[in-house]
Amino acid sequence: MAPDPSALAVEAEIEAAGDRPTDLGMFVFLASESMLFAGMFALYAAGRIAHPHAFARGVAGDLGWIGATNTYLLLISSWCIATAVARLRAGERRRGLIFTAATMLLGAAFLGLKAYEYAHHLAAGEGPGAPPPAGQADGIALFHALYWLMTGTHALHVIAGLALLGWMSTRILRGRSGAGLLELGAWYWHLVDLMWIFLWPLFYLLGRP
Amino acid sequence: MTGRRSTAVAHAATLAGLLALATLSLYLSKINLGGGQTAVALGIAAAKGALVALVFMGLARARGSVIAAILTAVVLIAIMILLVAMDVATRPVSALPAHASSAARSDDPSPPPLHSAR
Repeated sequence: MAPDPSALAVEAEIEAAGDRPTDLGMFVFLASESMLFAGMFALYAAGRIAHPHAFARGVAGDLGWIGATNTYLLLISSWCIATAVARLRAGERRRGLIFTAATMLLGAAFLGLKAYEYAHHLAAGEGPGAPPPAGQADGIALFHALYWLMTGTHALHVIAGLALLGWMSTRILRGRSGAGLLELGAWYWHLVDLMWIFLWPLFYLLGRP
Repeated sequence: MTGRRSTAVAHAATLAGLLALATLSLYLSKINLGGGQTAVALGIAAAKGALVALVFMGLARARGSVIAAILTAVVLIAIMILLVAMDVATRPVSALPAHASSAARSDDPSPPPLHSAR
């Protein structure tokens, strides 16, 4: 579909002014999102200090290969969306959309692996709120509760990010928006990546034998 | 053209750095670093986070108000997590709820903080 010149002209004018009001608004929103995760990171810190050995056992019980693969997937997806914004800014709409699609594909792969991991934990009787296994104390149950809470919240953010990028791609495809809009979605995606960067060592690395 | 190329090179170099740091994290997690394991793992995570924020998110060239919003969030988060961790780490074992203190004893044979005998 041909770009809408009037819509793109307005966006270009705001870009040229170099002072987009949406930038600060988006970063304040991202900061508030970070606060949500911060509360959970604080809970994890408290739990880990109170039950260091149980948490290490919990980490050893997680599927390490999935945590590592998902980390690589999200890091590459962050590069893809940053490149997509750069391509769009350079006027290469088709390449920009291809890189956005690649980002979404990597995000979907992340969710697929997460679903497999969740199924594995449910089959092992380690669902959210499950009582601790016989012979093990509350520390391991707390670890699993935090695992579901934090990775589940993160997975919801991945889903929201995919929906956001999908909606933005459609607008760009119809020629109603340009790089300025996609950059806002890209920042959200980078935040999702940032959160995973810290979740990965906490749930998959620290305590692994 | 030069600007486009330099952006592409910066993005590619950042990705290479991120993948290298992730691989280093994975490698170090298999080595016994003792008490330094947490600091090393979180230090590498912080380095990766800084690369994503500065290069991919473009914070290195962001205006002051945006930097102020992000820095405020980072500082407040650090203060909150530090205070929560200090509270739990310095709390006498007897101050924990009964089930928590018994759990701490049964599944965590590590010694309690030195001052817990107060």
